Amino acid sequence: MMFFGKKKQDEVAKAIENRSDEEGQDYWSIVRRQFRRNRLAVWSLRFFYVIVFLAIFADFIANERPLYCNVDGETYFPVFRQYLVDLGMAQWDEKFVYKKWLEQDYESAIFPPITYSPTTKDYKNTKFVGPFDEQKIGKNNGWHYLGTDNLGQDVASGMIHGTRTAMLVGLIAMSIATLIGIFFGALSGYFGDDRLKVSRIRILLNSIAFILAIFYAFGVRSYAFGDALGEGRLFGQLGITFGIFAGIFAIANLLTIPLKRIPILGKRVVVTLDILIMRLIEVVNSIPILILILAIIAIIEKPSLVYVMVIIGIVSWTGIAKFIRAELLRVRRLEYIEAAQAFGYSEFRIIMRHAIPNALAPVLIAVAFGIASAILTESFLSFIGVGVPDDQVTWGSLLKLSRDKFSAWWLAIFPGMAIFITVTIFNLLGEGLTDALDPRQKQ
Amino acid sequence: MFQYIVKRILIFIPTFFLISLLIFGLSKMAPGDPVEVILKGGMQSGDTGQQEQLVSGEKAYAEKAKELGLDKPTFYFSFTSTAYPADLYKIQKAHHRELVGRLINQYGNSEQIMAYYNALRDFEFAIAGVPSQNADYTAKRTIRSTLNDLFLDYTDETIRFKQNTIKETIANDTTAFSGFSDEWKTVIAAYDAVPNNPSTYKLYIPTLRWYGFDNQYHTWMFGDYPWLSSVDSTDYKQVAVLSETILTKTPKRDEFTLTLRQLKSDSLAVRYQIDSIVEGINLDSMQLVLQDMRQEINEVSAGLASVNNEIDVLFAKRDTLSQNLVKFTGKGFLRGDFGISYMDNRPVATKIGEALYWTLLMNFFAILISYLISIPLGVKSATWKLQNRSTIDNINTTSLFVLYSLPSFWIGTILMVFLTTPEYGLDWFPSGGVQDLEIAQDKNAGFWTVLLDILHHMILPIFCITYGSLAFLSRQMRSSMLGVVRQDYIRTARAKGLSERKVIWKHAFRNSLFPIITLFSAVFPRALSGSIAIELIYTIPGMGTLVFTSIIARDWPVVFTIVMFAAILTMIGNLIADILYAVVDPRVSFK
Repeated sequence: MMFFGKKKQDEVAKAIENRSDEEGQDYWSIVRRQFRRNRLAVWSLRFFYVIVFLAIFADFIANERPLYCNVDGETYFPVFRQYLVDLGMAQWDEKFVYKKWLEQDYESAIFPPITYSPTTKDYKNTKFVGPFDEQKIGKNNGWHYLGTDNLGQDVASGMIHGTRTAMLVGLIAMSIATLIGIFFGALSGYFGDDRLKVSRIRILLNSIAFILAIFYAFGVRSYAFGDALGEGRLFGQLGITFGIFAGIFAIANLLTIPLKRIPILGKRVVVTLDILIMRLIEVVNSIPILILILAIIAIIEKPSLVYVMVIIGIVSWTGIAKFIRAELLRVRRLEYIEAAQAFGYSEFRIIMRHAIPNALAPVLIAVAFGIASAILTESFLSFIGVGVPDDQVTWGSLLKLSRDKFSAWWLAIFPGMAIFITVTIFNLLGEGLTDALDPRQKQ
Repeated sequence: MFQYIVKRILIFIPTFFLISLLIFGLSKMAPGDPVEVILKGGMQSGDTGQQEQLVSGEKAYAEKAKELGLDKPTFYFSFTSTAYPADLYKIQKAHHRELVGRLINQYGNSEQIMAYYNALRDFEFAIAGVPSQNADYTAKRTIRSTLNDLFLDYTDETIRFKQNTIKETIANDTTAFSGFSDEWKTVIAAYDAVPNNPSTYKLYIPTLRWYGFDNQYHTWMFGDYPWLSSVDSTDYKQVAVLSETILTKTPKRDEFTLTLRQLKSDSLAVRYQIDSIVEGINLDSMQLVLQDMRQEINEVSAGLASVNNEIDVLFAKRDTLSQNLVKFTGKGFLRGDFGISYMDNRPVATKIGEALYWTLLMNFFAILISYLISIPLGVKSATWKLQNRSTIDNINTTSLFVLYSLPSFWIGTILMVFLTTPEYGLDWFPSGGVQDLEIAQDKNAGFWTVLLDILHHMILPIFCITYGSLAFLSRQMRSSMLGVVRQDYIRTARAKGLSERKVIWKHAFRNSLFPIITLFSAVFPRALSGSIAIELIYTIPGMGTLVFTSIIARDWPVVFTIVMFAAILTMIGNLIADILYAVVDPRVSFK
């Protein structure tokens, strides 16, 4: 289903490119009015707020720790304190470490609506207890509203916290995809096949710099990089890599300044950037996304959600790049860009300050659809048990449990429902945005 | 037009090679040593510590690596630091290569490191040569396991610690190992030279090395089998004939062995009767029988010996012949040789062929049904919209959208849970698989029984992969119909006074079909990569299951082939879509 959506995106991208340049009214106010007319999309937006609320406040809705409690005459706010403990700024009292939260003797306590964390094992209600089955309720622990799994973990709590995972995957994967997509889309759209004129020496030195940067960033540090990948310390390594790249390119470009004076080296030639980048997009689009993701995950030894997010982001930027490219192919013909060029602003400044901000609107469409498919991909991966750690509770991993025990219908229904609703909301948002932003609709 | 197609096909070529490089790179980054995966238990024989086993294990490894072409350099060229020796790839085992690589990465002095590595290996062989009856068992185990660790350790601290362990074991040992202390000292000395003369600066000097065409990527893609001249095949044929002859002789040998065993046990029984002098038997006749039997045994064992002899001669002949043959890894992907699966040693083409059968069967029905339903449904829903029948139109569009958004792996699971077990009283469908075991094994089962059985198994999976595309196609059909109806020529047709039915079906319908037709091109790659989720849920041995299990098992030849085919089909599909656009819509032109 993911790949069927591409066709429509392509059409809208084409329409954007051909959009007439004189717009009567403020573009955004038209878009907003169009979007509001779509009742389904407006409702989806409200649902989206609810989901975001659940994701942010998951700890206050489903938690084995009380929100407030009074033990031995002392008052605690354990849910809040947990954040400090996680940050290393506080420590738990010994009595909380040695005794489980739900078995403490509280003088008074206020618990969250669901009194279980996703990984709390309720030993009295193990082996798939359904929501309507007889449940053994203790002094502090409440009802399992959506039943439990084999280990006695609460399904409702898992679903609330799964919301956070799903939102994080959608957000981070799409942020990565947006960054890559804007980078390539802007280059290919703004410069096209004819606008990028670069001196020979700059091309030469930059190519050399690219090869050297790859050597020093990956070749020399291949073992350090591989180990970091295996142990999950990816971001530090990525920072160093980025630093090396930036440094080498800076040196290369500084060197061009004096060398450019030599006539043969300084001669400017046209770089057909658009063709190159479109080829790259074609390559990425030619491989079925799911197979590509599985193949990349196969080379990682230690599964982690971070990798899943990064990989989904790396493979799903092409739609965004196409939108930005279409938008910039239009924007670059406009007069204010010419004016900016006449002022002698650098190309970089024109792209960053003048061209891209005007081209961002349609990216929202691709982002909305992209989040839907990222969430779908993540839940699918946890459903087949690939790439996501075993102890991570997600919607997909809950759905997977239903295959172990067919009589546990609550495991088949509820997590799948959550996936379905979330994906539908983002699809509806995407549809609403497509209709609202589609220039063809305005006549 | 023709020019355009040629241009597009020419553009395919670089894209194709880029994808192949991408997948090849991924496979090289994957952890694990394919040769060890194939040989599996075979490699552990070194652990028992006998020299012959160590040698034969390494020989088996080398042969397998050669057979798979994994003993070659990885790529046409390498771009690494000067510190790494050019022939690093010649170190056979992947983890040995990693040890040397990691040490070089630390100290940069490849000569000393190679000396240490070779000293370590020499020591391993020397230790393995100690006959087990002369050696203390515990000491031997300690030395062996510590040695194995030393082939993995690259930090100075652990290496020195392990070296000490071996040193002390040798020093405390009173059996055969006590004589090895000098040998071990040379290993330690070889290691000491490594951190003492570092040349880390070499790590930062890049070098480009050219390895030529005889490399792993080239072999995989183009093959190392000659392209133009065909290989003189007489020797190959002779080897094949010899193998065949050996195969024909073996049943005879087995028969002889069997008769021999039977005769021996019979004669034993007779002799027992004679010895125990059972009453009422004729001793003389028994003796005669025994004599006959002895003669027969002699004849049979002579026959067996001669057959065995023949077979041995044939084996020897075949071995000498095949030793002189040049062995080729394969003809390469481009010539239709996809290699051999690491998992079960079967040709990739066979595996894919078997899996493709089920996926194509499933997708054939799925595509057929979704097109058959979605086209009329899309037209009908467009007319509802045109006639302002908003209730039914709204219900229709909403339900189509819901169908489109339902994740197929959820619906698959739900149908599996509720409709395939007696748990909820709805045990209507079999739970997974493609055929009933009994019917599949029953050779007399009629065609219709088999077909019905397969259909019975296929209904749920086909439903799961159909509904999504059905909903999508219907929506597409509806919107394209609505787009066409707004055109001027439809207004003209209406103005002519044609009936609404005629306007829709005769004038609008054909033109609104175009987007639907072009979507067909997206169907090929989808069928190939299969619906992984559905095939996994219903345990159908199709492409989806195959690609999933191969990726998990890092069976790269299979993964390569499937991904390459998916990519080729996607590119062809895109081209066909573009051409179809031009064919059905004359306004589209290609520059």
